Amino acid sequence: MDRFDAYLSDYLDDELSSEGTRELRRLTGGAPDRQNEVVELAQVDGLLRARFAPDRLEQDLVRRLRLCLEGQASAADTQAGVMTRIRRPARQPRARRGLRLQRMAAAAAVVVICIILLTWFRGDTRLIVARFENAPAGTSREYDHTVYEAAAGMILRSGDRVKAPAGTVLVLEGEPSRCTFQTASSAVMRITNQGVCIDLENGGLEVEAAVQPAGRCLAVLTPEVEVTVVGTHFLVRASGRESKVDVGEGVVRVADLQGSRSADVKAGMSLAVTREGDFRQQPLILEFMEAEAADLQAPMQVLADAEASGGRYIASLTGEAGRAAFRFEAPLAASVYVWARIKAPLSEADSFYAGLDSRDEMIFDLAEGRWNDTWQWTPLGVRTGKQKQDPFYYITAKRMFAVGRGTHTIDFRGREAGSRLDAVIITSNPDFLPADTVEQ
Amino acid sequence: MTERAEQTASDAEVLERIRSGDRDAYMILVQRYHSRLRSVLSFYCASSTAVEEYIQDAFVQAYVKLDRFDRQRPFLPWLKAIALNNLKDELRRCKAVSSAQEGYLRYLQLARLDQDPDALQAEARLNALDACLERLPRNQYEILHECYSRSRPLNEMAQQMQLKTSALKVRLLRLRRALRDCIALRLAAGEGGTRG
Repeated sequence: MDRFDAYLSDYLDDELSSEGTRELRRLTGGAPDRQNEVVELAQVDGLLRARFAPDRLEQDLVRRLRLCLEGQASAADTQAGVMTRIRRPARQPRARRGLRLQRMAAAAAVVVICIILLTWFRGDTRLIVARFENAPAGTSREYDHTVYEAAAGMILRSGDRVKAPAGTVLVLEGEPSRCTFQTASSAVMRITNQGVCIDLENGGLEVEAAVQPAGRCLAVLTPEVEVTVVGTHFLVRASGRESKVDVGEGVVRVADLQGSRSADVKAGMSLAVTREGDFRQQPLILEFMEAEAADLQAPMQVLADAEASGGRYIASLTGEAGRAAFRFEAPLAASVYVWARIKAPLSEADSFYAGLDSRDEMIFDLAEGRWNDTWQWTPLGVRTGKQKQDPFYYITAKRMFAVGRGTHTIDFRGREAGSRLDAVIITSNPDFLPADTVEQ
Repeated sequence: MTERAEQTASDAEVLERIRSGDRDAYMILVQRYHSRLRSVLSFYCASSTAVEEYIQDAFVQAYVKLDRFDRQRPFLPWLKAIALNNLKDELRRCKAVSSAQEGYLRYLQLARLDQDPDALQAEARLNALDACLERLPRNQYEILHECYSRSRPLNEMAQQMQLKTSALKVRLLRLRRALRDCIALRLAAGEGGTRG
């Protein structure tokens, strides 16, 4: 057998190395006869594969299609808003040419995050198909060691490795879910028997999934943890030896793959899991800001008070004037709450107007019925009515601001002269309490 | 419906069952046509893994679009057209980049679709292949059967046949060449033709 035949034989027998591939290409380059030989024998090889296709291929196909068309979870297993565990998807069978195995082995060396979507056939014909909704310049998909430039609308195939700049969006048709790469990322698409699976090798992936109807669920896997959700909005980031799950809506259950630890991550919370199995949960957004560090508009001014944080606070000594804007970042859409460290010695000096992004201004009563000359933490609230026993007093309730991903400001505008503001905490944790909160 | 009745039901009857809510009936069409589809796709696509995905995609897409399909028409050509369209999409995407990549050889095979957009060659050659296989000496047929149907590793097969692996590879290569030549001769003699 000469060299060409040897390489050709290896090619047809799925045993050709990368070096062999290059060599065979060199030997066929500019030689149409040899190119024909390769193609014709590969065609015969294909016909033989089809002719002798083992029965299991039909069985596998029927099983995959049944799962694809009908879904596997039962309505009883998964109810909207209720978390359900599902089995880890089976690994892809070894690719005939052995390339995917190498890729999976490489992927296993880094953090792997899988998103599995199960569909439930409910009489309609909607199915999940993953495709690029948006593919900025530099987006590519690699399949069988071949790199293709990606374009909007392109359907993704199992085994595709996606190189995605920030802003690349994948959508799952028939399933109102969107996956947005937040940073330059690398991910491998896999089609499992259970649905679509994304192995996030590095970078950040934001997933927006609508509330799932009965029988449909969404899960995330990493080498460290299994995450199960039902209809939520979350962000997964993989870097180094840590996976991070930020939850904007819904509830996510995270469990290590040994099943020894688990945690429910609620909306507004973030969980970091290390390879060593450490679970660290903290608010998705938690910003402490001194009032004097805000963007101020006169006559809002900085004043001194030894008992104030940092010895300084802000106030407007003119009614209905002055402004303070507190800027913060939301890594994904979430609900945020604001705590303010205030001093309101009199009922005539106990309010600001407060709003989000210069909109939705409402009166913020600093210390309704709790006027005194000390600094106290109070949640930014909104008037909801008047007290029955004493109609002079307002009832207030903690105010929630719905924010999208990006930069926002909480604005305080002067209302009653002399209302004092020392510091602000902006958090996505609805249960957050500042350490020195006065019981109310 | 009995198994026999399922086997003899026309495509239109099966499609009517699906339309009336019997989604399991779709599997009758899957079992009926997956093999033909595999032959066509394998002729142009070198990766068996990719072929299985194309088959699945085609059946899924056909199912999704069933409402738009005229049930009086034969199902297979429509299914095949869906699969070929996907393959052509892939070819279009490959054209820009494959010449510089390791997938070039596979691209060459896929690019044959340009000369045969309806994949008629694949069907004709499969018929011719069947005829060629019938005339193959039994021991050679067994080599192909063991290799392709049972996916046995070549070194294991060689050991059983008391051959060196390299010798077995030579035999396989010769067999493929012989089949290629046999197919060409049959087609030239007008013994190919598409199956209905």
